[in-house]
Amino acid sequence: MPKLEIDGREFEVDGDGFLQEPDVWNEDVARLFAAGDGTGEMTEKHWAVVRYIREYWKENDMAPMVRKVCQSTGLRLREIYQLFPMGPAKGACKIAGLPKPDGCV
Amino acid sequence: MAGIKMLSPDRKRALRVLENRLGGRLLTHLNSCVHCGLCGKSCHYYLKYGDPRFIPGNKVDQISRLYRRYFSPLGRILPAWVGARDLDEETIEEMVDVLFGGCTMCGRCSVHCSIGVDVPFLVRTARTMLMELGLVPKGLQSTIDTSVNTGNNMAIPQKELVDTLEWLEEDLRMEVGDESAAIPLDKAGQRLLYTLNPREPKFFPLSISAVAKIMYAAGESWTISTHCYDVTNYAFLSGDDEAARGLAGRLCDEVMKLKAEQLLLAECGHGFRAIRWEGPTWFGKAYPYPVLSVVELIAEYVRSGLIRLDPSLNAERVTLHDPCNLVRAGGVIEEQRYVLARAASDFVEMSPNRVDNYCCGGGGGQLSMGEYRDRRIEAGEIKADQIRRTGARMVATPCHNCIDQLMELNQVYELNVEIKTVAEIVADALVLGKQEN
Amino acid sequence: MTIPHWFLVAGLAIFTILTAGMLRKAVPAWRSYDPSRPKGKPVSGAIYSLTGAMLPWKKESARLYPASYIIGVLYHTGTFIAFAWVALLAFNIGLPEVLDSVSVLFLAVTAGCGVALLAKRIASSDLRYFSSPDDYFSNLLVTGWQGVTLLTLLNRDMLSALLVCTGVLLLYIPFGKLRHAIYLIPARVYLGLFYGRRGVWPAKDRQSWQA
Ligand code: SF4
Ligand code: SF4
Repeated sequence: MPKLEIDGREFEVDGDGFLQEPDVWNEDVARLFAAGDGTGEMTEKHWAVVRYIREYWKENDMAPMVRKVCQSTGLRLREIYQLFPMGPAKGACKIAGLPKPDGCV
Repeated sequence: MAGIKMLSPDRKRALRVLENRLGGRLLTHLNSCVHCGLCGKSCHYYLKYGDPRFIPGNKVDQISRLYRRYFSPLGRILPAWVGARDLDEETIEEMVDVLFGGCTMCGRCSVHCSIGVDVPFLVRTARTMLMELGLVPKGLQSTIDTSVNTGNNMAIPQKELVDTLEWLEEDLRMEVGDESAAIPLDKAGQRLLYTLNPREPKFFPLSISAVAKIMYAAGESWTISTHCYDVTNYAFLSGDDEAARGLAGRLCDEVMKLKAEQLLLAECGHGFRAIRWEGPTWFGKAYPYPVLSVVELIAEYVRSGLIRLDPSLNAERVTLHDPCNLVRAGGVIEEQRYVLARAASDFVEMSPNRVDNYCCGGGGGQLSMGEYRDRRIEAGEIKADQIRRTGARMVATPCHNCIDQLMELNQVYELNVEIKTVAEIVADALVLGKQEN
Repeated sequence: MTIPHWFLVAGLAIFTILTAGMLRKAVPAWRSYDPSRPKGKPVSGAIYSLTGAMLPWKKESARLYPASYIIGVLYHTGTFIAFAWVALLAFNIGLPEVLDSVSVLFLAVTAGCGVALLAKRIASSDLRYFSSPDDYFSNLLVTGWQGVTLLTLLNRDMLSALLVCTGVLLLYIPFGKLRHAIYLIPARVYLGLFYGRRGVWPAKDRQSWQA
C-alpha cells in the first residue's frame, strides 16, 4: 500500500492518493491534502464544500452530485471548479477523505 | 494438446479464449511480428522510460509466445527455440504488468509498425485471457460491475440524475432567456437519443449545458433517457465481450423503445469506439439506425449554417488533443478541427496530431487502474510537452476520459491551461437570436 | 535431376502445401470479420496499407531509423534476387556475364546488411530482451543462403550446396519467425481494412507534422 507523506505525517492512500481508511480523516488531513494538490489555502468556502461532501458521504455512502454541493453551499458551479482545480472528485472528495469514486475520474 | 492438460482449470479457460478466437485476423497478427523493435519510439511508454518491456513488439510477444507454445508445431516441441512460454505464474505476472499497466491500446504503434501488426487488437485479446484468470485490475473491474449492476458507471440514482438535468434546464432557460428552452427527458419519437458520460451529471455538468444550448440553437429534436444513458463501456477496455455486449445492447434497446432515429454519443472516445465500431461485431450485425458522435453533429450544424459562431468570443489560444479511440480508431478526425477553427480565433494544432497523435496516457482504462497511477502520469509527460509547445491557454478534447487525465497533467506539469470539451467551446461562441443583416 | 535437385523440389512442395494451408486459415475471414457500417472504404484502406502507408516518411519506424530502414530494404531485396538466381541456376539458365558480376556485388552488400542486422540484434539490449534463438537463426539462415548464392555465381560447382540450402530455407520458413513472409500481406490487408472501414486510411495529405 503506497504511503503519502505530507509534512512528516504518513497516510495510507490508494494509487491515486485517495485515503485508504477514511476514518483517519480530520481537518488537518484535509489541509495537508489541499496544500499538496494545488488547491492551496483552505478558505471558508472550501470548508463549506468539504464538510458537506463529508456529511453526505457518511449518510449515503457515496459522493453527492455536484448540483447538491452547489445548492447546499450556495456556491455557483464555476466557483467550485475555481476553488478546487482538480475538480469535485479528485479535488474536493479527496480532500474530504472519501475513497476514489468509480468511472472516468 | 501438449501441456494444456497439466494446467489449472482457469488457465485452461484462458487458453480456450485464445483457441476459440484463432480466426484469420488473429492468426495473421499473431504470426507477423519480426521483433525488429522499430516501434519502440512510437509508444509513449517506451519514449518515457526507454524500458524494453514497453516496446510494442514485446507487448505483442506477451500473447504470441503463448500462441506459439500451445498452438504452433515448433513451439510445442522446442518452446525455448521460438521464445514460447508456459502459461505460468511469471508469464501471467508480466502480462498483467505490461498489458494492463503498460499499454493504453492507443494503436499509435500499429500505424508505424514495419509490418502492420494490430497491437491493440492483440493486447485486448490478451486482456480477455487475463479476465478469465480473474486478473482485471480492481478499479477497472469495479467500474464495469457498477455499470452492469446500477445502469451507469457511477451508481447515480435515477432521481438524482433527473434533479440535476432539471436544474441544468432551469439554468439554460435563464441563459438563453427563453422559457421554452428544454432538456427533453424520456421523450419518445425524437430524432436523436443523446447519451452522457456519468461524470457529467455527477461532477462536470457544464458539458451537458453546452450541448443543450447548441441543440437549442439548432432547434434540434432530441432527448435523454433517464433509464439508460451511459455512453461508457469499460468492459470494452477489460476485454470482457459479454459485459460489453450487454452494456451496448442496453443503449440499443433504448433507441428502439424511444423510437429515436439516431443514437448520438457524447464526447467519449472509448464509448464512441465501443458502441459505434465494436458493437456490431458483438451483435453480429450492423445497427438499423445511424450512430454518430456529437462532434460530427456539431460539425454538420456549423457546415450547414444551422448554428452561427463568433470566434472572437473565444479569444485565447486553443489547441486540440485527439483522443485515440475517436480519431485513430474511430475515424472522427477532421470534424473537431473544422469546428474549433470557427469557434475560436486562435486555434493551433499540436504536433504530431490526427492519426499520429500521442495518447494522453489515460486511455485503455488507465484512469481507473490506480495501481499504475504514477506510470500514467509519467508517461503523460509526452502529452504535457506537446501542449506546452503550442503556447495554448485552452485545450479542447472530445473525450471526458482524456479531460480527466489532462486535468491531472495540467496540475502536475504546471501547464496552466483550461481543459474543455468541444461543445463547451462551441457553446461559448454561439450567436443566438435572429441573424442581423 | 540430381539428389540436391530432388531435395529442393521436395522442400518446395512441402513449403507450398504448408503455406497454402496457413493462408487458407488466415485469409478468407477478411470478408466477414466486421459488420459495422463503414465510414470510409475498406478496400481503399487495404490498398493504401500496401502502398502509401509503407512510404518511409509516413512510417515512423522508417523515419526515425533511416539506416535500419535502408538496410532492411536492401536485405529483403537480396532475398528476392537470390531466389531468382536459384530458379535460373537450377534450370541451368545463363544470363549475360555482366549480370553475374553485378549480382555478386549486390549480394555481397545485402548479405552484409544481414550481418549488420544480426549485429544490431546482438548489440542492442532492447532487442535481446525479446529475441529468441529463432530470431538469430533465421537471420543466419537467410544471410548464409544469400552468401551461398553469391559463391555459386562465382563457382558453379557450389550449385548442389545452394540447392540444399534453399530446400532447408523453404522447409524452415513456415515454422519460425520467417513466417512473416507468408503473413506480411494479410497483416497489412487486415490493418488496412480496419482503418479503411473507419475512414482513417487512406490518410489525406494533411500537414500532420507541422511544427
Ligand atoms: S497501443 Fe499505444 S500504449 Fe500500447 S504499445 Fe502501442 S503505442 Fe504503446
Ligand atoms: S515494429 Fe512491428 S514487427 Fe517490429 S517489433 Fe514492433 S510490432 Fe513487431
